[in-house]
Amino acid sequence: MPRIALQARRILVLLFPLLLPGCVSLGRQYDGVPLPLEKLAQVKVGTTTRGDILSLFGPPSSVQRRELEGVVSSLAARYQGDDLTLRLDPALFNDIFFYEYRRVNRTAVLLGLFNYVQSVDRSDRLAFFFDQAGKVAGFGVIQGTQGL
Amino acid sequence: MRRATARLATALALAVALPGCVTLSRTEEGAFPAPAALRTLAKGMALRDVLAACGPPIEAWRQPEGLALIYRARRYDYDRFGLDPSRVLELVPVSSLAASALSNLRLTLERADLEEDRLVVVFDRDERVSGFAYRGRDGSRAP
Repeated sequence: MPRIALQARRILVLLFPLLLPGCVSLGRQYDGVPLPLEKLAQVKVGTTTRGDILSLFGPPSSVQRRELEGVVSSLAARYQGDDLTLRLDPALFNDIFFYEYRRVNRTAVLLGLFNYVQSVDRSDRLAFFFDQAGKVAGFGVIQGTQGL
Repeated sequence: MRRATARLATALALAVALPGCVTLSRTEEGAFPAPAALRTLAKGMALRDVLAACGPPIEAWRQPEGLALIYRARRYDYDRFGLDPSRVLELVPVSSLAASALSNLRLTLERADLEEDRLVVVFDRDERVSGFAYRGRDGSRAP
């Protein structure tokens, strides 16, 4: 076989993958801002208030608080009788602040006959639980994005 | 030489005309407390200590009986093998009988597997652990 034809064939084989659109796709998704975890040193359980947390960390990604209507509905659904008297523990309505910084890494290899797609979703999460006085009852942090 | 070229053209046509023949996908989400943190859990433990050891839960529920924390991390695998010869009929000359046979020949194999690490910690009204349960993605009940 002529040497030129052999080289042309090799070049064609090398160029062939370039003809396949979207062969490799790398996606990076960022949701939120990195959490200022160094400020956790200023948080004292039983002392730091909700206002302090807002000042230190800004607005939470989400605030969880039970609604009175939901509590009454769930109790009423389980009750069988004529009268229902409720004595509610105010702790039911204590707030939970969640802060989250989320990253999603996506990798796709699309070769026509063989496709591989991987998506890894990791978050740095911080949660503050408050007591009835509006002070921090406990907090937890997890740095999930370190594994990316 | 012509036969070799025809084979190469057929192979290329097949490669282009059978997209997604094999697809492997994996999705991972969530972060889970380390096994060492899980082993520190005990009845009577205070909420603050659970949060310090295990981090924030993915969900928290306040019920009249007390608080419940839910931790979860998931891995979802989806594999697919598909074969659809009818898509190459326009490119490769075959007899009408073979074409009608091929147009009815489709094969798809799919496999989906969801694995989950899960931990639920429930508290009494004094916010002390009254119970907890763990299940690993391999079905184990202990970390």
